[in-house]
Amino acid sequence: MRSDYALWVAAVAATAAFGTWASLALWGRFIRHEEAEARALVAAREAEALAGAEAERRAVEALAASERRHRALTEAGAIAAWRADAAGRVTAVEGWQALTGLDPAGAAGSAEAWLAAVAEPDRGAATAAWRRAVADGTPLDIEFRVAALSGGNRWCRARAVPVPASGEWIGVVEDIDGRRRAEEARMLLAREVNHRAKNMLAVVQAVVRLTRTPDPTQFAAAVSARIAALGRAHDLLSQRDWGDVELTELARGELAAWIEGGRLRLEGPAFRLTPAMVQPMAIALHELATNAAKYGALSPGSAGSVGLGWAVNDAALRLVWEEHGGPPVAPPERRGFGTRVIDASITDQLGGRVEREWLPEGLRCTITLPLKAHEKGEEAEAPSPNQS
Amino acid sequence: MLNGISTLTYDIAQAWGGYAPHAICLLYDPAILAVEVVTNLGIALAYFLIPFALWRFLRGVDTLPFRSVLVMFVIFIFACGASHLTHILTLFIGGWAYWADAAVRTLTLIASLGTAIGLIRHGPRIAGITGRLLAAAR
Repeated sequence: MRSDYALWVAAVAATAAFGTWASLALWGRFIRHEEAEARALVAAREAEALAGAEAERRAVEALAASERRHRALTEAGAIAAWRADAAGRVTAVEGWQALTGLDPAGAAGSAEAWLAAVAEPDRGAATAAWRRAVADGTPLDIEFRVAALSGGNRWCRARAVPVPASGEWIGVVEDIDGRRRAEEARMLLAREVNHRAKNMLAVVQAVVRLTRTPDPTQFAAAVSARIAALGRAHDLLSQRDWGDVELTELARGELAAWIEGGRLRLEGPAFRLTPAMVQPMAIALHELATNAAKYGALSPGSAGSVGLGWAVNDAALRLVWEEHGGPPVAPPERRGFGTRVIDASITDQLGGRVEREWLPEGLRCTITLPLKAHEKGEEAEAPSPNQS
Repeated sequence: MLNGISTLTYDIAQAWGGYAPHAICLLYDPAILAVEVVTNLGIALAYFLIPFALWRFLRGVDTLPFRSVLVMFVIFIFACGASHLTHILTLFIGGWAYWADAAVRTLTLIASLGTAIGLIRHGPRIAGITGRLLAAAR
């Protein structure tokens, strides 16, 4: 009976062992399959996470690069870039110091802090424009002067647009000082040219009206010569960009023929005529020469000569026209065009004085021009035809 | 050998209906029978409910990794429950009930041992992979 028990125990144990082995083998297949699946999932998820991290790193890098480009752009454009919140308070400013020399901290903060940098005459308008833009949500575009630390005011232009959705404002301030100054200079020049053109026409009108000769051919020649004298003065002025003209240069231009012929010599220090003095002086010299050529030391058949000298002291330019060796002269019976136009130009236009002396050796004409009065005499008027 | 096989066959044939119900050994004592019946029924009920709950859980989470672990638990716990039922049968029915009980217990043994050895063998690997899976999902 003992061996029977052993047999049964062995049989049952063998059955259990085989069954356990079989179940483990079966389950093992499932486990291996599931393990492969899980490992694939882990690999996929880890790659995904890595890609996510990489994408995030790239996004951060792209943002940084964009930020650097934005900064470079601000620097290249010589502009200050700023942001403001929906209430118009400036929250960040870049490049403000480089542009204005002012502390950027002072520009941020309250709604109107940056407006303190705006120069007094423009501050009211700039403040109103900014308030209106913030209230209406419309783009801002204003030009104003900023008191620069280097002294003086600089023109700036501020533009800003509201960012949709956030209500934030993005703006720039650029330095337009050069452009504004050029514009102002151009306007000034345009006014000046206009003024001179009108002046010139008035002078030409006076020349035509005052020239008196019975013969039309002589009339045409006289008028033409006078207009040519004006033209030469005009040329000189335009060559000097409407600036000062050297007296020697003007005299050489007007009296070239006589100087080359050795009949006239110039003597005087360097002196710069202001633009307002050029035309009257040109007319005066032309008329003196014309008169001398007709009746005086430069007349045909006479061997006379002329000395033109000038001296300058603090208050006045003194110019002396001296004729020598001409035919005997006497004061004229009536004032010709030359006399009248010289008087009109020198006396009335420039506030100077003309003295004529008919000496035995020839005419001596002294012109005295006060200098102070003509330094600001740019806007001098044309001689009126009625003043003679 | 032949003698052994014939004796075995005879014993099985004779013993098939030959055993007395187990309650006789317990002298039909109501107290011990009550304890046997109530506790084994209760354990069986619990051991059927647990696999049912696990099965429902498996159907609810179809992305669960290593589902076969839970499937093994379903099988072995269900077998345990069944063995408690067959034990009650042997109390009142003799003969074939003992063979049914033996068969169910053998299956329970196989399922339990298989689960135990499998867990010991695969457990650490499963834990490692599941850990990485959860970390990567975060």
